[in-house]
Amino acid sequence: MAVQWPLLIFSVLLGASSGVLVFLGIGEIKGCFKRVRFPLALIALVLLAVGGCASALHLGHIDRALYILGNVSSGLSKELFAVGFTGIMTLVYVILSRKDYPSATRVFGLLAALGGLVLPLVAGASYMMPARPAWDSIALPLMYLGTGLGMGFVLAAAYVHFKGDEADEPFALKLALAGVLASAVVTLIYVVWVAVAPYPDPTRSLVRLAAGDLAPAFWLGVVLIGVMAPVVLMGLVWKRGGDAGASSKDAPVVAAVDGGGAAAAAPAAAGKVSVTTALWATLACLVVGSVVLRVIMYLVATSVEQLIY
Amino acid sequence: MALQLSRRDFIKASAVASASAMVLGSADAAFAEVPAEGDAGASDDVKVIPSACRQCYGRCALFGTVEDGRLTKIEGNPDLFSEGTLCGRAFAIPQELYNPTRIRYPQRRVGEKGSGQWRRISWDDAYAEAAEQFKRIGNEYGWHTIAHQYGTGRDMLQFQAINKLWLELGSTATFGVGNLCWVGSYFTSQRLYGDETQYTGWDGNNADCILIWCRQERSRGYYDWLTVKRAQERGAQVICVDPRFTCTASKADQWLPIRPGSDMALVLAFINEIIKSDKCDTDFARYWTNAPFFIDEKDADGNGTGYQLRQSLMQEGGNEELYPAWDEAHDQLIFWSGDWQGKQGVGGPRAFQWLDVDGNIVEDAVPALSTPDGKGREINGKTYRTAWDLLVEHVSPWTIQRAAEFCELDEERIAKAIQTYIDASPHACFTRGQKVEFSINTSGISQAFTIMMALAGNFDTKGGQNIGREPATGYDSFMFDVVPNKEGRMGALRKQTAMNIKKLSVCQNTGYQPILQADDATGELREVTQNSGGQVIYGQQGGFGAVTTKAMAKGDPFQIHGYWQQTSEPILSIEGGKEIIEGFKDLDFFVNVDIFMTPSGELADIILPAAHPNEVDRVEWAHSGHGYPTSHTYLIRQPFHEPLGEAKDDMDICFEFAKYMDVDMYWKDKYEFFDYMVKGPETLPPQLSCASFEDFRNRVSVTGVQMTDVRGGQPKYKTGFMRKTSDFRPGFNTMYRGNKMGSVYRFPGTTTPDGKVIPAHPQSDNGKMELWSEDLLLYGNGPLPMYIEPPITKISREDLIEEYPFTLITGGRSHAFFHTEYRNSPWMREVHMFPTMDINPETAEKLGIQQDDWCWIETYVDRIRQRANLTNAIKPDTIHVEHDWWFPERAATDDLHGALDANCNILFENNGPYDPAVGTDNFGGLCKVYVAKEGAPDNICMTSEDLRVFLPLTREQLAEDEQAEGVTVTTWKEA
Amino acid sequence: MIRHTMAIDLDSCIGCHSCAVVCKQENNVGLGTFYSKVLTIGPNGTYPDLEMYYLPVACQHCENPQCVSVCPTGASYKRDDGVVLVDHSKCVGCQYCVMACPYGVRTYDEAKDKGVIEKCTLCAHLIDDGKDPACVRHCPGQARIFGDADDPESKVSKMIAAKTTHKLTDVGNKPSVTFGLDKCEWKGGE
Repeated sequence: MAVQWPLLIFSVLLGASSGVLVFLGIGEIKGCFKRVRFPLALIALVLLAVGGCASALHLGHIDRALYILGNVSSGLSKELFAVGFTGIMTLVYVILSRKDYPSATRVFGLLAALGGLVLPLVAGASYMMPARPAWDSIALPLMYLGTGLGMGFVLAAAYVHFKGDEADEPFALKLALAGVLASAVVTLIYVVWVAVAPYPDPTRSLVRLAAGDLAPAFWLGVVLIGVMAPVVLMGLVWKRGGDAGASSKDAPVVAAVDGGGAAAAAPAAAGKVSVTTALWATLACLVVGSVVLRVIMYLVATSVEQLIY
Repeated sequence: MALQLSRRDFIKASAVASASAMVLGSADAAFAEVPAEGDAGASDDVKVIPSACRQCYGRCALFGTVEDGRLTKIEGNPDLFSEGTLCGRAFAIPQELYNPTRIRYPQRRVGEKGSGQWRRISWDDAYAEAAEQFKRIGNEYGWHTIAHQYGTGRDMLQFQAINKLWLELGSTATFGVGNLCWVGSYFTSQRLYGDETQYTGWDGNNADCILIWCRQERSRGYYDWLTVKRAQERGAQVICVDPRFTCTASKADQWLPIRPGSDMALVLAFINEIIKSDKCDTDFARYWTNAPFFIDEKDADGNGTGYQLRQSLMQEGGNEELYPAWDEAHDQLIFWSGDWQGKQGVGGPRAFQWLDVDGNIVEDAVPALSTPDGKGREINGKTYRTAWDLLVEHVSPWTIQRAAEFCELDEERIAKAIQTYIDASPHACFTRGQKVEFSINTSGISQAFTIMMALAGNFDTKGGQNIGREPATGYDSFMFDVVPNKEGRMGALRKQTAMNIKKLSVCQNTGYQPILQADDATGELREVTQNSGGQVIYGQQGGFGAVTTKAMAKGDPFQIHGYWQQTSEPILSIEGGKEIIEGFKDLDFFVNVDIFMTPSGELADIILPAAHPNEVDRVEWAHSGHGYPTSHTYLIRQPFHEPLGEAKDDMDICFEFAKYMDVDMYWKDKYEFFDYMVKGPETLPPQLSCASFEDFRNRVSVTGVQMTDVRGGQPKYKTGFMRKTSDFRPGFNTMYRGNKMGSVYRFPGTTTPDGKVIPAHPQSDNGKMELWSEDLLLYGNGPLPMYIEPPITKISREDLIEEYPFTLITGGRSHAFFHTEYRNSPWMREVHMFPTMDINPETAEKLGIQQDDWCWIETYVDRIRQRANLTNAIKPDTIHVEHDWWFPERAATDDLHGALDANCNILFENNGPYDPAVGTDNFGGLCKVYVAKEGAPDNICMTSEDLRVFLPLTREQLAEDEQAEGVTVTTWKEA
Repeated sequence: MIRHTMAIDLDSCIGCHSCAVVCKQENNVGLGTFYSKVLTIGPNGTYPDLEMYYLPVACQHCENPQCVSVCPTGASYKRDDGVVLVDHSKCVGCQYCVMACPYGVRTYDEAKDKGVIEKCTLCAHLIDDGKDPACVRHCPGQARIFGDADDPESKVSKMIAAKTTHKLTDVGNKPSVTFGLDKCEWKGGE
């Protein structure tokens, strides 16, 4: 199947958006991230809105978009509901976050976070179709969720380091590390699914990923940039932060990033980068990884019996 | 014009007719309704017109829905032989009618030849200029220096008009077209027993075995498959002989993947086994063929004529219409009287009877097939063998084992197939495709098939071969020329040309040619010289592709100056296309009549717009087809609307131009002939006779009766129905035998190039089927079918194998196209986008060729590009390429609409040898294949989207463009 | 209850593409789109013992159509008689049905009625009038049989009963089109 770019962009943006919302939700529970919740919630809203617009480009009839609620049992209708719910909660949260209604803000922050947890799952689940074995597994919605958490958490953590309270930084860093690990794990799970999916066929096989026409994208985009580079970067940030006793956004990080692989970690040549920069670099790697993983997801989505086209 | 008025009248009439047919329940009532979809929702002007398809030879019956004068839908007519089925090509009719490449107004070329620059002119100017030019050429150089040409498949009636016009004008040369693929069998059947059988007339409805030789189920007249399929469901065995695993092969019960070009060895083995079996129909051979006749063999000293023995050859003053044989019943010499015309004194009641030496009829004569031990019988001091003796001697060495060697077939497979055919006889039928025909031995192989069918006892039996198409009304298209000639209305110029044909024919330099012939006794191939007889085709006065090409391009034997071409495209369909282009460029004057802009049309001086077949009136009939009722049905082909623009019916163009050329066409117009044809002879049962063409139009179709049913199931040859001479004598129609007109060398007294004088020889119009053929002997093929190895095979050209290791075959039929047609139909191209080369995957792998790679296919002559299709349907050492490819999406200046990129006929030279009788050339050879790094030819449609340039023009677009500056052929790059 | 279905006798199909083309005429299908296509399966085997058949493929009008369950608008729907259709006035062109169809027989056709999904309708406009679909009516091999699967006396039921039958790969969608093939080995999934 051809790569559906509007849908791909939508799924990456909604993932990042969801991750940010969950990050803020955790903050609401923990009572932190107050200083960044407005801009981050706004970023989440914008990401969701841009993603939604991108996905609309996929439709033949945008004018009939509301018809999509016509069959509520369909995955796409559920997805639209989830987007709508999350969007509204986020909007309210954005508005409230500038005001001083602490409990109300918290409630909507949590509701938005709930949306952020559910939305990637619903969006991923709409792809679960028996006709396309490489999609027909819970591994796919998990992948959407996990990569979203990775991107969202790292984005939020970077923002905390950029403009937030210094006190929030260690916790943000922890969450970012957790997000990167989640992203790596779900990526691995999804690759395993491709390998074991029913109706095996060379077009959707591990062999195609490892040694076939998709091998460059897989090894470089998914493994190196999408998984290894973020893990290594976060590991270094973590280590540096621990050594310093307290993390400082200006503290240099020795990034022994492996050679040519992580292009996003180019500052490795300079030998030192700030934690903030490292976080932004990690985010970039995660985004690239997510995009490439989704490209592969479309390309291995051959039908059980593609007879006409 | 009166003609057009009558057309309009008929459209009204036909609407009424179809409406009344629906009341009667004979047509699907649904067709009267306005279709739910379409742009004419509001229109009341909707007609459903019954007509016939002309998109191949099949002539399926169909209905056209015409809304506001525009054809919007094609549907099958369930009431006739095609049973409502239609193949994809029928649905391309609207796309052809309104095609952007269609010529709608007469055009005169204003740029260089091939520049694609044209200006519209009036019909009057076009006719006047053409008449002036042709008259100038005729008077200055002689009328034989004007060639004319007609294509295949348009229809037989317009062929008659074209042919008559130009024969009357003394034109002799044509490229021919049928002689590539049909005339061989037609000619041979006509000569041997007076009618055709090999493509049509097979009674699959009742057969227990159907032997299909190199024929696709889905090339033409697809309804034939219904017959085959039903026969199989009944338990009949279907045997397919074909080098490729075709659709037919996949459906058949037995498949013989024969080596291309080796067919003769297999047929001879069939004949041999039939003769050895107890099923051999010796009675048929004895009483209805010339098998018992003595042959006046030439001995080593050159004594003997080599002909069939006549009394006149045995004794001074003997009768040349008396054919001696030996009567087993009375142990006496008897004579068959062939004097049905009563010219030699043994006619009247004695004609077609066995007579004793005193001339008395011997009612209970039993003519002996063989002489003692086949060694000959002494008569008057000379020993003679019979035709049967010679036949048996000839075929006996052709064992299954030898056939297996020659054909690269498994012995068991051959034995099983032959046994199946023999077991099912006399309820076994045979049909063939054109591919066996593309050979320099086409007449010989057709003779061999005839002997096979005859000795298996399958002629005119239930489930066998129903000899000859039996026209529903008794008359067929040939009466167009026969009637005026009978009445002595042949023009002086035509007569003179016929009398001087040996000087005026382009065939005069085809004489002796080396061929590789198998020695019967040993099976060894040896080079012999074949004396080519002179290619009389169809009563056409000499001419076939290669010789006409030579005359045009090289002035050999004389320069052709003028050319009239109608419904044909020789650059694509004849071997040596590049030389044909050269020839066309050398012409003083060239008129092309066609529907579309074509490669050769771009080299013409004037183009006349022909009406589409579904814009004209015709009496139509299936040119394909199994037995009853297909082969006995006439159906109407009538216009869906007036021809677009100023286009005219091809027949009308001939009639109109005849006036400019002062030619007496005899018939006032086509309708006068149609009236005559559908009325039929006096003897026709009244229910089959139509009062007029208009009456026929109202009836839509007429289906005749099977002649075998008329007289108690007796075969036609026993009841006199084979005779076309109206004498109804039992026996065959042999009036086409002997040299009636037109051949080059065979006139007694003619000197051949090597100085020999053709001796006088008698005619053999004696009512017998010829197994040993005096006619084919005279033409140069030899009296018995000989194995000839095609000139370019691994066996005949070992010297080429190293560089060209693969056997190349061409011309397998495609279900999306009909020869050169439909390359401009978006739907047909979409189904089959590219010229396709079949190659075995094993071979492809060795050559690094992958599916859909564009490849060069190269022979020692030239190379072309087609796209690879990897398939097990073909042997690893064989390559098949498609024929007649061009790219109408390319401009005239772009290689004449891409006429040379993928056109397989440029891969073969045109220097002979040819079939001696009909001039068929060789269309197979040896090749190499390699990936074309260049990929596809430039500027061709590569995707469905590209094909939009061929989408039908709208009403408005048609009205806007009156083609003042030629036909705007939009190449897809420009679009 | 009528359950309309199509059965295709592959022993009779000669792969001529008539169905693909007549469909274009009947349903006004644009260039590049086919509701019905004909595949060549084979030749398989060892030369010269080969087998080949043709496989015409269009919408299988599944009993449990995935295209219908994923359709967010209800534009894709299944009628009581088993025919699966697309209501073009409701279709948003999201193409999820194209992804959900196991056979690739749905097309997103921008060219014609911009932005909607097209596919074989079993010529619903004809069958509702009591006629056969255009491809059935014109099939040169008379290989296509249409009728009521619930009526044991219908031509289609009899054909299904008489032949060795196969269905295209079923991933729970239960395709309704039946293929009859006695002469050679079925090469598809079941």
